Amino acid sequence: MDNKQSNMIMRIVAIAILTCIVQLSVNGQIDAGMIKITGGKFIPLFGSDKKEVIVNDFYLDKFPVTVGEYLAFTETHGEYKKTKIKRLFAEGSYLYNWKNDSIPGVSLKLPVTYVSWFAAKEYCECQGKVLPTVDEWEYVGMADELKPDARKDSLFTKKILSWYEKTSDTGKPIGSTFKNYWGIYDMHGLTWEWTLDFNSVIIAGEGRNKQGDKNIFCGGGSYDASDLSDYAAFMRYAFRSSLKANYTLKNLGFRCAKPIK
Amino acid sequence: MKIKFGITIIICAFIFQACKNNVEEISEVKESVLLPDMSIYNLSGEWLTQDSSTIKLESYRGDIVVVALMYASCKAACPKIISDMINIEKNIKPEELQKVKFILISIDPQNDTPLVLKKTATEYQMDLTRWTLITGTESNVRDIAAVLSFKYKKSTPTDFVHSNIISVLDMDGALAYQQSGIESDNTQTLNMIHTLIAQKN
Repeated sequence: MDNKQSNMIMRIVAIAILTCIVQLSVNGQIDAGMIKITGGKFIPLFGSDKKEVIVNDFYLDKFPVTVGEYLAFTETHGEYKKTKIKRLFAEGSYLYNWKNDSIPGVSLKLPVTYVSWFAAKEYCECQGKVLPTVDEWEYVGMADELKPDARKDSLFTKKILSWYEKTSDTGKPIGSTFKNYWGIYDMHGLTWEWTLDFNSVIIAGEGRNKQGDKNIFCGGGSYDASDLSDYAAFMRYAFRSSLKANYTLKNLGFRCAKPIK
Repeated sequence: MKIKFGITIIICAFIFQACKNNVEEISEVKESVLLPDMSIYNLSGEWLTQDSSTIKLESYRGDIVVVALMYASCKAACPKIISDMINIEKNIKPEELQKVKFILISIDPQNDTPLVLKKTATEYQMDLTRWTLITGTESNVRDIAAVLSFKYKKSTPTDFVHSNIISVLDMDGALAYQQSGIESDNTQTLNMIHTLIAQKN
């Protein structure tokens, strides 16, 4: 074996090993873009009779899923392309801001929006991940820059509410808002985010039946907000309860999570 | 040397097998008669019936379907939803009834085994040539609830807070009508079923 050939073999082996590592990352063995969240207990704003829930340790994406990442997903999953997706799984405004099936025409570093719950869920599953549950999202979302639970910090709540008041200020890339206690970026200030069980948010009083709520939601009376001062969280829950799974919105994106077995 | 080179390339090629599962699924869909975009039967998950048979929802294609989500240990609303559906069944003309199927989907797969569902069917004296009670994975339940805009949350190990909706699907599985609330007036639902059957003819 001469030098030239052995160098060639070495290079190919190096590429093969590198590819292996990349594929393992994609399959979730090593999750470079995720951070481990240490679990804990908290009383969510809307839960069961103001009971504490337990959030187990889990991994959460550091950033929301980007346009670039979602584009790569549509290349290997053609049925999720802008013009190919079935209306059952996403309404007509799916990827509305994209130029066409293969060209977003917007910065690849933007959080992907105009995606439905079905699309977000499929993207995560394809990565060996899942959408975070409402409890998991809120558990991480209640952290500010310095502490894991900033719900009693009225300045923090005001900051979030001021973002909610702005008319869709989109066009900001991932990482452009704050990094929280966990090292997770953009939980507030960038987009709303899909959760796995968004349709578990049942707020008493939203029924329009003339007979009243008791006929619309069985057992809904026990679902009162546990803390009315956390108006920012209330808005998030109200938003979730207004969604349907095939909705796509300008300021609604997502990130993925992964349970720890 | 060339053989070693070739083998390394082949190994590289195998390593590139990542998320390609859906490519096969697309060709499967093209083989059957294409479902309309809005058909709920686009959800291709498998379910177990009260008789432990495996079915896909698509097997209902061709019939008008009246469907609701419930759970067997539900004490308050679900019995009323079921009796609403039984009432609808009673008010469909016999010659039209053969074109209508009734499905109950459990949101409590952990507890609602086929045996439990069979017990429920017997309790209500359901005609199993028309009624099917099914249970599936939590993921399948989540998907079907999502397309039917059905909200639910487990509140205790045996209870759920949930919407009360009866849905009517046309013969291709697209959502045609929804009746919300319990002990509602079934008139609109019956009219829709009658219209769909008339369209079918």
